[in-house]
Amino acid sequence: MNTKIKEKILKGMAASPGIAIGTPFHYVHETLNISRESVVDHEIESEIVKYRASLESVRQQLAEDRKNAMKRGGSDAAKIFDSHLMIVNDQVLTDEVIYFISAHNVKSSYAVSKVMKDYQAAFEKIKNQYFSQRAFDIEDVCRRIVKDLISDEKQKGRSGVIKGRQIVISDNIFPSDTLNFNKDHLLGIITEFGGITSHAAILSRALEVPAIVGVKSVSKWIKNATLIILDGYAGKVILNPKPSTFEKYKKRQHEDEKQLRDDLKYSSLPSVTEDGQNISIMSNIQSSSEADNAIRWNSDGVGLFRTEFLFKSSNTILSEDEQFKVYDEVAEKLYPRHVVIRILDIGGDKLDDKIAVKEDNPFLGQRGMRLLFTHTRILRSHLRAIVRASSRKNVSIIIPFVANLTEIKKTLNLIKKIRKELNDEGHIIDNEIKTGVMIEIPSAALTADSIAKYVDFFSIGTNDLTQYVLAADRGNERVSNIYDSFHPAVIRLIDMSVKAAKKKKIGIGICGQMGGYPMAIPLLLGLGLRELSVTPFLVPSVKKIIRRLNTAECREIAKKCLKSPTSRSVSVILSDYFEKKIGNNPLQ
Amino acid sequence: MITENVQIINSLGLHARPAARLVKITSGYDCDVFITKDDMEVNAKSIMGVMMLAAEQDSVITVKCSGPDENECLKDIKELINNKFYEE
Repeated sequence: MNTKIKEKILKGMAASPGIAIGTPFHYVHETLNISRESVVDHEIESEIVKYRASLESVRQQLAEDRKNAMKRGGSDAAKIFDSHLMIVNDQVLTDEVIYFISAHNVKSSYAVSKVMKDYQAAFEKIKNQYFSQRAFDIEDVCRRIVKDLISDEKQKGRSGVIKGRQIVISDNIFPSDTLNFNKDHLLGIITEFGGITSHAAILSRALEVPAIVGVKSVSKWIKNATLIILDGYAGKVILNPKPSTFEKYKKRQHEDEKQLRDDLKYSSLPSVTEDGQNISIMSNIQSSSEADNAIRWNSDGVGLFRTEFLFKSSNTILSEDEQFKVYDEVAEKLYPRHVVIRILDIGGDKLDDKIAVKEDNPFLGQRGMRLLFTHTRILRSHLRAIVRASSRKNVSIIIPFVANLTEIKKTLNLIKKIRKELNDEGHIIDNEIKTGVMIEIPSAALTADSIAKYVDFFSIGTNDLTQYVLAADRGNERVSNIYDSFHPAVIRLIDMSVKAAKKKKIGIGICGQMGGYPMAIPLLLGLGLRELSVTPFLVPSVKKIIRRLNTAECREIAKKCLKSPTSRSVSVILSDYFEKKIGNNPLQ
Repeated sequence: MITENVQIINSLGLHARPAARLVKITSGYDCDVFITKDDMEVNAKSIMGVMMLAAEQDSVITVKCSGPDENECLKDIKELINNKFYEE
């Protein structure tokens, strides 16, 4: 057998950002194949009593975990434990276990695992993903009950305990695991199965532990690994890293840690430039629990609430009321700060097999409003839910992916109709609800002056704008050298949009990844932008940079960039300035 | 014993929350309640059982009540389902 230690990279899905470097801890779930142990007739009653007592103790554990999850991860995390509580409280299930104990003269631990295994198997067979995923919940609850029962019998301790600080690798992590790991010992999580919408992924994000899910055969590879690096930004696991890789990540991790300390210091300071210009730093979010993060990092509001994720994670088209609940919850959490809700932008990379059809060229096909106008029932209930959430007057709507004025006018008309409809039905709504458009197709930037007459604000989506103006798919690695938001064409389009907005005195912000890229910030301020919307945890670092900038200097930088011939020359101007002004060179 | 076919019309179908509401109603009655869908019969007083049916929107389930208060129980169940579990 070849035992030579070699660097090996495995890919998975990035579920929670961050870098972890450490030794692997292979977390093997205790198998629930509790062997059949018989009891004599007069012991049956005490087995039933033990079973009932364990249900009670699991109920208490769940209530406790729910409370912790709520504190550490908000309502999304807490809900998981509500569903587990429902399983524990299932009277029929309880009766079945009790019947099994007395009918077969067996120990309660065996009866529980037998009965629940059958349920689990039945759920695993269901085709609908929502229902089949419930098998994991049953397994987790069953494990809790059995663990509680056998702890009595001194059989506990079979599940390993993390020694020191380690990265946990497992086939799957259950909600109960994540909360039970000592956070000081848990460096990160890697799972073989599960998606980015799995319970474990949601929890690790809420707890801010780096995580990667769906790494094929990781438990097999890990056997030959002594040291591993978890790159939760890129979804990469590096086994036995070379010294150069190790150094690179060590440095990155060190920067992250320093950043975090700084961030905490900076998050409560006002975001004002050296020369006294107020810049508002908003957050991009995609769920109600991320709204909590937006608040925790002191954002000035939500500049982009992506609604696609809600539909994706529920696997079905949500009803008007279900959507309303989420939008309203977010608006309430953020109040008095503002929330910009983006109309569902599906198609292309965010395809939803429920309503999208296969297209040869989805990025240039029927996405965003183009798709929604062919599904007016979905569009109407979606818009109604958003407008209904405006009762506190802190909600705006943004129209995604528009190429021409007709689409904008059509959407505005529909919103107007819906407002009237809701008024007639007696709903309290904001009748002056503001509507903006995303500047992400080059035609919208080029005709921004015409569009500005019809809407209240613009938001520049630099990711799409870059991919469309450079004709380079942002997800295609083969053209990743072409895709560059510092291309002068992108900068000129941003410049045109800002000028058009200022001329018509409407609002303008930026919500693409460019806004959170340190080097780009002087350029964006120099182009006249005063509102940046970024991932919540980036808010403090953006603020830190802004507080050291001077807008007059930024304007000079922007002028130089606008005249630059290539992305490379723009990068050089920006990195030189950044190094001079902020210190470290962000290109490294 | 009374039996009736009912169509699920809410968009989520018998997801966790609607299933929990259904169980809450059935548990309040003395009669036995069973639901059948595609040859699978489950006890309607069990949330696990009800969810195991994986009843999506537009599917038809057969509700069977048997006991002294069977009529009232079936009426309540139908009302809940036809009102989309009071969620939409």
